Formats: sequence, structure tokens, C-alpha cells
Amino acid sequence: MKINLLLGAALVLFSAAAFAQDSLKGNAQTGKDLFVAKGCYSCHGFVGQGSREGPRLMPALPYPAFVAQLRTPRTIMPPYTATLVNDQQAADIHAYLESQPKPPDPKSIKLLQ
Amino acid sequence: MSKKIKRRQFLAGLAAAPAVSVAASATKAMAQPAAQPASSVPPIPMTDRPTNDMPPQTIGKTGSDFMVDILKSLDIQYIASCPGSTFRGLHESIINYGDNKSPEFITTLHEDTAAAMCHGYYKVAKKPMACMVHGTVGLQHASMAIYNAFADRVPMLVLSGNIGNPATRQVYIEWNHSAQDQAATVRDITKWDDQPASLQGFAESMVRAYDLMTTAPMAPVLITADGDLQEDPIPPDIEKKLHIPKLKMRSQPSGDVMAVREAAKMLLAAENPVIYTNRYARTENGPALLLQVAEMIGAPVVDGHMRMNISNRHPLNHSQRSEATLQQADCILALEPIFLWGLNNYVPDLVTRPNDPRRRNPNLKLIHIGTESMMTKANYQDFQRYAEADLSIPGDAEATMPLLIEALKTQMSAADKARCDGRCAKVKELTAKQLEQFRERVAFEWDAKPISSGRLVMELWDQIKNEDWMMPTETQFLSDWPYRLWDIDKPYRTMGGSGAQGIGYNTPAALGAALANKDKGRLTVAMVGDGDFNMAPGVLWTAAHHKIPILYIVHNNRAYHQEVMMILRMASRRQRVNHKNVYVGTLIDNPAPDYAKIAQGYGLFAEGPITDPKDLAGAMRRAMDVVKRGEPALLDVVSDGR
Ligand code: HEC
Repeated sequence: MKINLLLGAALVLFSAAAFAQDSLKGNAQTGKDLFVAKGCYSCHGFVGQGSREGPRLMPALPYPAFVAQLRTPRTIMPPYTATLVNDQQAADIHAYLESQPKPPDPKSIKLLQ
Repeated sequence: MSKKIKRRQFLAGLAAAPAVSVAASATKAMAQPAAQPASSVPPIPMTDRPTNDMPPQTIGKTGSDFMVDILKSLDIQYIASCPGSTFRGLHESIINYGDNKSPEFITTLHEDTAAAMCHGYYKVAKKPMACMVHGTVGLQHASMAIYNAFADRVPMLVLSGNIGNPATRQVYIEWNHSAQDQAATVRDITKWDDQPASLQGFAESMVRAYDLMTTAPMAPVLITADGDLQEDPIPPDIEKKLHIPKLKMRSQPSGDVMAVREAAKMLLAAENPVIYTNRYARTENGPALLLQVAEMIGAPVVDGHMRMNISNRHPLNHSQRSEATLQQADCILALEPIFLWGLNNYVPDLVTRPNDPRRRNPNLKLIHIGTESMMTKANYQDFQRYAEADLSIPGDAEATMPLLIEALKTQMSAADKARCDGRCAKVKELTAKQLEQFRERVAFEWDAKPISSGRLVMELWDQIKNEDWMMPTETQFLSDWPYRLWDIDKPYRTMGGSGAQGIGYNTPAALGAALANKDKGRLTVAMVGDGDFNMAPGVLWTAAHHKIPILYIVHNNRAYHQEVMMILRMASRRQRVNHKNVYVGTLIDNPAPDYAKIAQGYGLFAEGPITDPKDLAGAMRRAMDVVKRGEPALLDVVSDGR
């Protein structure tokens, strides 16, 4: 019962998020600042590399799944409602994550051999 | 001659015989009514010690000289301390009578450091050292470090001073530093304590304390050395009779053999047995015994890292896929697990504190071998939530391993063996790609600024991989990268964590470990958080003063980062919009402390703040040169949160 309700909520959010993405264009630079200001870095690392406290965020999830996670996290991540991170800010953070360069090939790093 | 000196001489004249001859001296004191002014109020006896004409200089052996004999007979190599007048007698005996050898006096700048050094020292040396703390105030300072060691089941000999006899307390300060019952402060967090009233009693209590603290479950002990007992000369008739008991052959308590046979039966009947270890390895033989069992039954090992239990690259080590491993287990052999309940129950760490544990597997069989239940005290809750074990075997897990191996050999049929061998091969395959995957993950953060923990850890690895290294500090704030990427091969490479998560453990405990490593010729590298470091920066002076080689790296995220995350979650739950406020009370910034300067001020080689990952290698090389010369060094690395 509880699970169904949650799923329902997630679906509503999914479609809302999809709608939001159509009308909102994210700004990667603003998103970078928000990633720090909203505390995302504290669990996911400054470049979204992930840590013991939260998974790696690259390559970025598709926007609807990204917003769904923000609004109704799967487990222990604190929920960020629209009061805390509005749709425009979510789009900005998403744009920042998408703008991250591809990581170097581990084979090209001497210390990782 | 000043009035003060005259008074001292007078008092020294009073200080004649130890309090052992209480009965005789009490009679004598009362037999001197002339000294008391005439009064209608019954006279209060000023002292129960003899008031004979002993000169202020004492010749011959003193009480604290005998205490040093006891320390030597127990082979205590080091005694860490900040000086304090309640043990001035013992201090003087250690350095002069004892020649400052076995034990050597290690000067610290805080009692918490002295106690935490004992904690780290034991975990490497596998034998206890001592700390000596000032009556009342010194003991209060030391108490958090004693609690960490208690919760980590690590022994240390805590000696506290005290002026037990109110009549011989000389100045008002001595009243502040004396107690009717010194040990009351730490009784909840020690295995045993005593405040002996005679030298013979002192000898027996010291040996009993040593015996108790080094027999599992181990823990700190406290012996209070009375001031008069320390300072007075030993009357010849007493000295003749003094005897220090010897510790001869001893063993650790192992599990009941019948119960161990039952455990073997359950393990052989299981489809997916798993071994969980945490405070398991007591000696350097622990890992080999564990692997023998794991290989025999083909079980993956999940390790909680509180001791060096299993090498991280062994294919049966499944600690990096612990949740998946525990979930599919139908029988878990838990060896000194600490948190037994958590092996079959899972509560997500949510800010709402939900109380709906999920069981991993309702049909799980849980076998517990450990000493957890053998020393449970009422007040501090480090005993964790009550767990239902299907078979509970109180006893030291490492001491029980040979019995278990024997029982498995006896009960294992050829069919069992074939099944276990087949499973063992399959289980090993599951970790085959792990290292490669972690290398891929660390590449994501390779060039990040502030410097990522993965990069920091791998730059350090490059410096130590060809050395005989030891890393005494906790790694969870470094996202456990050393356990994922280093080759932690020998049974002495790591030593686990604080026990009670009392911050301020890593920096001093690492120095205790380094002291033991110095004697063994091993290189110590310690990565400590800035929060931890700031609890005990004076540790650096002790390292420099005693020339203890150690490389300190301050993993400097300029925050109490754990609390940044906690407050974020709290603010999110309450829908408070201004996220910037979470940094009030959680950052260690503005101004950013300059740890290299602090270290230089204490006499160390130091560099930093290092902000570019490209600068790490050079700085580490320069610092390592200093450490290899036998001195401490420090690098301040501005880092990501985790
Ligand atoms: C207190 C730690 C914490 C904070 C702060 C935090 N997260 Fe998370 N995040 C997690 C955890 C843990 C997960 C794993 C799933 C879960 O627990 O919900 C996660 C998952 C995610 C995921 C899904 C990743 C995937 O691949 O499944 C995204 C996207 C994400 N977080 C984005 C953010 C953003 C954006 C912020 C800041 C607005 C943020 N997180 C703040 C801990 C955190």
C-alpha cells in the first residue's frame, strides 16, 4: 500500500519533471555553485565523483530520474523538495553534472597500474 | 631562611614511614598530646603517620622505587605522562632510580594524548604500555581516551596519583587533586581498579591488574598510587618482606569444545556460509587461522576492520561487497563482531530515526564466537542492541579457532569437502574484477580540486608500497580507499579504529603505534582529519621531542564534515531553505588553520597547505626523506569532504 502510494507520487513527479525540463534550460555555472551551496558536494564529492556517503553522479542520470531522486530519494539521501531546490535550480545542477568532462582512462594514470 | 622552607623541612620531618604501619603510628600520634593546644573540643588527630625526627633527606629505597621495580618486572617499556605533583615521587623514581629505561618517560602535552598513545601502542606492540596521570584532573582529561580503549577492548595501565591522607595534603591544591575514590571517574570504562594502602598490596594489585587487562576481554585498568606510599622511605623490616608476584604461564579463554563442534556442524550444513570478523585478530596469527577456516568451508569473509583480520586483496575477502554477501548468507559465523544485531538486521541511517529494522534473512543461522558478553557494564551503551544468536559461544574467537579447525576436520566428509572446495572457487571469482573497478572509479576524481581522497591515498601508496609500512589510522573518512586500492598484505599493516568514535583518537593513537613501529623498524603513515588533529595538536611536540618517526597527513576538509552532512539532513527534513546556515558551527575555516605552521612551531618538518594534486608527490617525497631519517613530518592537504 505504502509502496504503491510512493510509486504514484514518483510517477507524478516524473511527468512534472519532464514538463519542467521542456521549459527550463539549466546553467552549468550556476549549477556548479548550487551543487556546493545546497550541500550536494558533501556526500557526492565536489565533482560528483561519489564517496562512502553517496554514489557517483556521472554520467548524469536523465533529467526526469534525476529530479525524481531529488524529490523522493530512494533511501538515505535527504529529500530536496521544490522549497529547497526549485525546478530551475534542479535544471542548473543537472546541467553542471552533464557538463563534467569525461574522466581520464585509468590505464593512462601511472599510479593506477 | 624563608618561612616557607622552614615549613617544608618541618613537614618533611613528619614524612617518615609509609602508611603501611597505620596501626602502630596511630597509637604513636595520639601519644603526643603536648603538640595539641589545650581545648575543650576533643583534639582532631593531625596525622596517623609517625611524627619522629626523620631528617628531610631520605636515604635508601623509597616506596616509588619499589613501584618502579614492579613496572620493570612487568616489562613496561614506556610510560606517557604530563607531570603532576600527585605522582612526583614515582616520576622521580622512574627517571633516577629506574634510569629512565623500562619504562622510559614519554612527555605528552595532554593526558588524553598519553592514554591514546597507550591505545595505539598496544595494537602494534601487542603488549601494554602505561600512562601516568595527575590525581583527579589528569584522570578526567584522560577519560575519553580510556573510554575509546575500553570500547575497543584494548589494555592500558593507567596510574593515577592521589594524596589519600587528608592530614598530609600540604597546600589547598592537593585537596583539589585528591579523591576519596579516584577510580570513580573511570570505573564504568575500566576492567578493574584499585587504590592500594600498602606497598605489598600495590605489588599484588599491579600484577593482578596486568593479568586482568591482558586476558580477553581486555580493557584498561587503573591503579592509584598514594602520595605518601610513593614518597616515603621503606622501613627496612617492611622492605625485607616485599615480594612482587610473577606472571607465569597464562592462556586466553576459548569457547566450549562441545559448542564449537555444534558450530562446525552448522557450518558444514549451510549452503552459503559467511564469516564476519571485526575485533577478531588478537595476534599476528589471527589472519592465518581465519583463512584456514574460510578456505575449508568455502566462505567469503566480510570484515569490519577493527583489527587487521584479513588481507584486502585475498579473493575470499568480500568486505567491499558486504551487503550482497550478507544478504545471501544462510549461516553467518560472527567472530568478535561487536555489532552482532547488525548482521541480520538493517536500519537505514535516516534522520527521522525510524524504528523498523529489516531482517536480511528470516531463516539465517547466526553463530557468535566472541568475548562481547563477558564484560558488560551497565552505564555506557557500547554493548549494542541485543541480538538473537542461534549458537552463542562466549570466548576469545582467535583462541577458539584451533578448536573449530579441529572440529571441522573431524566432521568433514569427502562429499562435504568437494562441496566446500567447489563453493570456494566460485566465491573467489566474485572478487576477481574488484580492483580494476575501483581503479576506474578513482579515475573520476583524479584531478579534482579540492584534492580527492582517492588521489591522496594513491599518491601516498606510491611512496610506501616498497617500504615495510604500517597505517594506524581510520579510513572511513577517506571513503575507505586504502582498503580498496592498496595491497594490505601483512598481518600488521593496519590496526582498526578508535572503538568509541571519540574524535581526537587518531592523531595520538598513531603516535603510540609509531613508537611501537620504531622499535620494530617499520614506517608509520597516518592520515588524520583536521577535526581529529585539532583535538590534540600537541602530539606533534611529543613526536619531535622523542624523535618518533611518523608521517602525518592532515586530510584537511576544513570542517567537521560528518556534521555538515548531519545538519544538512536535519535542515532538509525541516524544509529550512537557507542551506548556507548549515556551515554555522560545522566549518573549521575563517581563518583556515595553517597546520604546516603549527607543526613547524612544534619542531617538525612540514609543508602545506597543498591544494594542487600535482604537488603531492614532491611534498610526500620530501617528507618521507625526513621520516626515514627517524623524525616526524607533516603535510597539510586541502581535501574534499570524503
Ligand atoms: C547526506 C548525503 C547526501 C546529500 C547531501 C545529497 N545526496 Fe544525493 N544521494 C545520497 C545517497 C546516499 C544516494 C543513494 C540513493 C539514496 O539513498 O537515495 C544519493 C543518490 C543521488 C542521485 C542518484 C544517483 C544514481 O545514479 O542513482 C542523485 C542524482 C543525487 N543523489 C543528487 C543529489 C543532489 C543534486 C544533491 C544536492 C541537491 C544531493 N544528491 C545531496 C546522499 C546525498
